[in-house]
Amino acid sequence: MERRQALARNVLRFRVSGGQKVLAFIAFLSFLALSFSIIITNKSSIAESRSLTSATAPAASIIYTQRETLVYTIRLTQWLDQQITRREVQIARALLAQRLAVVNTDGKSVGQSAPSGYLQALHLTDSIVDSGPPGILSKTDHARLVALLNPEIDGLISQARLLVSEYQMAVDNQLTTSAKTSRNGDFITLLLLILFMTISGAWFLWIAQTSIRQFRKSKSLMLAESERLESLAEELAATNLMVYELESLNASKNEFISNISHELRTPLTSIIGYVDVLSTNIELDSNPQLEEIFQVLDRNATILLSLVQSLLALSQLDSPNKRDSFKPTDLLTVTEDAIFILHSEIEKKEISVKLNYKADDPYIIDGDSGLISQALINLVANAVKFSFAKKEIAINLVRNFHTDARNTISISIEDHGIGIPEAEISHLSERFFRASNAVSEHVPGTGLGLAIVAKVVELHGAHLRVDSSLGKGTTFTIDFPEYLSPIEALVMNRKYELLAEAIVGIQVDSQALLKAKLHEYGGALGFYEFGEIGEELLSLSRSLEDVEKVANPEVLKGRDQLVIRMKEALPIREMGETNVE
Amino acid sequence: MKLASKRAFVASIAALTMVLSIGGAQGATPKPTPTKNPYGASVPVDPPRPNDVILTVTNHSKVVRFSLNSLRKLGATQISIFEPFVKVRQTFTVVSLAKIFKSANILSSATVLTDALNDYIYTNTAKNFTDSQGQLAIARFGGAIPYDQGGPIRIIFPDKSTLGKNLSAWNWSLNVITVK
Repeated sequence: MERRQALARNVLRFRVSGGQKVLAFIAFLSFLALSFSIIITNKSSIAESRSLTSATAPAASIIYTQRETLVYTIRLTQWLDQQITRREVQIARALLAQRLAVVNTDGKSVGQSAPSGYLQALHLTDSIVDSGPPGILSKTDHARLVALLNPEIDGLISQARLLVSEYQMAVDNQLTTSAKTSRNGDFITLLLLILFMTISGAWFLWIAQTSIRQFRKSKSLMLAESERLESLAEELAATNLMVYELESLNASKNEFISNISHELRTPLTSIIGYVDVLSTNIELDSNPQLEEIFQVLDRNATILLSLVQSLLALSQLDSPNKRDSFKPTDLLTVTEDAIFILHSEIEKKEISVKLNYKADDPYIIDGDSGLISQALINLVANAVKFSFAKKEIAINLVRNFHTDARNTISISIEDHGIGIPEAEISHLSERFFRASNAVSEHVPGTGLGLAIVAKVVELHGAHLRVDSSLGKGTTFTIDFPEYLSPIEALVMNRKYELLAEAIVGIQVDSQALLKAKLHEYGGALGFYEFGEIGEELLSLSRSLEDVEKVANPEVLKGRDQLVIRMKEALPIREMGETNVE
Repeated sequence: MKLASKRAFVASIAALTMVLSIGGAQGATPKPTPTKNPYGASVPVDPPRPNDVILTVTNHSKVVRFSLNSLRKLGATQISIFEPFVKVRQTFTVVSLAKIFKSANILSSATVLTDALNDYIYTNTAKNFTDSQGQLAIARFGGAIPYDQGGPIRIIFPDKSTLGKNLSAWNWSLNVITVK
């Protein structure tokens, strides 16, 4: 069963094994690495993008520079061809200079990044142009300057082409580097992604496999439990049927015994009556043998009647709902009646019965007067039966006050007789049990009297005690719970509820709250007859006046000790258990 | 003198100085610009004389020619802008393109070609030029704009204007405006 419960607990709980935890941790680490890789790749991409933007920014300036260079060379050619003045060449050169001075987004101008050969070619043309005359070239100058300038024009065009091609190479290199860096970053990210996916997938598969295994276990367990419960239900149904049958049998038995007892009691009473009439009317002094026969007849018939009456009483006690007939009963009156009923037996043995009680005390209990009367008659009859002649039987009625529980009313029947062996005391409430010395002393009895007493005591929630000394006598004591009016019962319950409430209520940490609670419960418990505890609570509350929000260990210690005492004052046992001591 | 009167006096002097500097430049040869292009030729190009034709505006049959002086007569003002090519703030003396278009009866719907000395051409509608408050700069910091710095006249735009963001529209060394 324990194994099954442990398994059920394990099944119902989602469990992750050590290996799964390690794998989950590795998956987490790979996820972190993947995240970092993505962040780094993104940052790198942004940087590359910026770098590429920066690299491509001068493109327009480079193209325009090449254009202006070509325009300048055209102007130079036109000048050499005597079509335009030198000033127009100089203007074209100035516009080229302006283009070279344009600052790009990278903060540099084309002039700054232009190859030295280009600028050198430009300056060579400048020096040749400056050496020429202003205005249209003369034929003389034309021949000289053509020879000088044509190679330089070719050089300048070549340098302008180089300017573009070098720029293109630089951009190509930048693009290649960016692509490589980006590819490397992407490759690492891809690897990490695959790693993460693989580990996560493995982890999920593992978990899924474990879960399926646990599910299967739980299914089989539940099926087994279901079968077991079905079997238990069948057993319970069979037991219920058996209980019902036994109850029916018991009821039939009680009814049978009751009917038989009734049927036997009538003829037995008649027999005893006729024996009495015959023994009175017949002259027995002249026939001692006949007198003995009458005595035997009378004794056995009386025993038989007693047995029948006892059986009838027991069968009635076994019937359910006997407590329905309970009402406030004066135990003193019932006791006096029992003594009166037995006065002939008492007188026969010249025994004096002394009934002790306090006249001012009420001895009211909640019970069935008939059953209590039967129990007391049995006890007093036993006391008379087992007492030595001319001895005294003391019957004491005492009202016991309890601060920690409901008040009780005790009745004790004390005889001075043969006593009961100690080892047999615990068997007294068993049906048909008779003490060994009673049998050996030929004391008549059925062995049902004390069984009836024990049953009555149990039914009334009372407590039976037996104190016996062999050869000296026996004392039977029954402690009945005192009758409580509905209001008294309410107050009684409230009293203990309040005490339990106070035990919890005063165990607070806040000093200010503790003071308030001690005061509150102290007053209330004083009202509910817990005067001493109430006063102590109030005293403790007053002692907190000087503390001023500082937790005082002494006060808390006092509080804790008081709590222990309060717990002790709570009723720890239910009234009503029956035990023969 | 009260503070308000002092401010009014200073403002009057400043305005007078500005008028004198603009008016004074009308008749004389513009002073050379204080800046120098590091990639320019060792011998600078002389700026055009005040009455030399430096801009020709052609609206089909109508042709209007402008010298620096005649441009100034259209009404010159000063404007400070962020020059996007050398990336510094500069102050220019300008004549609005709207006035130039008006002088040649160019309608706002007309498509105009701006043609530079180096044959660079930019084309847009007159309306887009005027909506962006396009200006023709004729001097910089009170002096002539050198050829190697976009002179002698160039199209500029105020900061944050629509066409100002398009660097192609900033035509340097403007020579001709033609209606297409």
